Amino acid sequence: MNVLTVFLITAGALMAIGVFGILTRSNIIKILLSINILQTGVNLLLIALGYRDGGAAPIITSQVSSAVAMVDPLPQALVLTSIVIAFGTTAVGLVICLNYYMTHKSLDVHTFGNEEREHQQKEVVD
Amino acid sequence: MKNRYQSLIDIAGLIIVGIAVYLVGTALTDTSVAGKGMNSADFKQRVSYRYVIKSVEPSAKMEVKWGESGYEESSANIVTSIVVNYRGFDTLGEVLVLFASSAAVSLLILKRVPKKTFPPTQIMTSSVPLVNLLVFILGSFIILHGHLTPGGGFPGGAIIASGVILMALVFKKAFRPQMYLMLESIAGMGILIAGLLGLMYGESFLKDFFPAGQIGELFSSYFAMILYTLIGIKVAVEISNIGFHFISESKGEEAV
Repeated sequence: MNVLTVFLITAGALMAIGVFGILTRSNIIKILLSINILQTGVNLLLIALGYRDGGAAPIITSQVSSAVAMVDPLPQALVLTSIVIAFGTTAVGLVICLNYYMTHKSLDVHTFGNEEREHQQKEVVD
Repeated sequence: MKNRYQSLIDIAGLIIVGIAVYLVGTALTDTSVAGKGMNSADFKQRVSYRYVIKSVEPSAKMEVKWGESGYEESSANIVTSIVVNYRGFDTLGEVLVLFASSAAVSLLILKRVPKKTFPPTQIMTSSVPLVNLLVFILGSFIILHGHLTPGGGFPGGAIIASGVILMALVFKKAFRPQMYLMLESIAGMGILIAGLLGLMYGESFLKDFFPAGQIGELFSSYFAMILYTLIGIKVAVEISNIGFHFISESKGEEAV
């Protein structure tokens, strides 16, 4: 089993965990965490696609010139963009979670759409 | 609130994920379709090879060596040369996305009734200045060496932002979002002005118009250094601004 296979299996496992979490969890914080795990898996997959056996890091040093076999630098530059955008979406998602908690007093997705019923029940109680 | 059907949902999710893993796995390992399967293209056929040898024509000057000059672009870190020079427009969009998310956080956050907060302890107030000194030095080092070592404006900016947020948690005086926002506007304008200067002195927007130096010198890739410094300031301010909003939300203060 070479290094590329290990990378691909790990990336696939992370992506499977992320998709499973998004599909089955009902806590929105856990859904957000699953989205982040999925993003990590996708980033690892992109990096793994640029891997070459025995390749050096794509930095020119006193030992490494461009004639030496290097790993593909383009996916790494794209993953840099991907990480930053993942950070931005996570920040916005956390704020939305906060607002959701403050309006529904719960982090469960199943409370969404039950506002009217709860409101009516409250009126009945009052 | 426990869902009655949670175990059924879990089993259905497992089945769906299993089918997806099987399909993707067979698609990736299938050798009959394209003839060779994934990750098979020769490196010299890829676009990345042009970035590595710093020339569009593969026959031009085949080897890029440490300490030599005269290439079209002179940063030793090839990822930096892609991010800042060859795909600078992409990075401009990336910074805009980060700005949009920072703006969305400040737009969406709700003001809450102030809760009881605890003053920082002696350990925090005495250790944070020392830690922050090291954090700021590390962040500036990573930003300024972005064209030589792994790193650059985005990770360095994130490191500096962590120091700023730590400082704002402990010292009330460091909590000044207005000043940081002005810094951010100046950095954003700086990126645009650098791009327009490239249009003026070079051929295209965000073109590296400085003379190429020796690969491996600290002062070799001026354009990457300037642009990464501006990006670092902008990223640091945006991330610490998001942090400020979350802090002010828990304190019930007006953020901006």
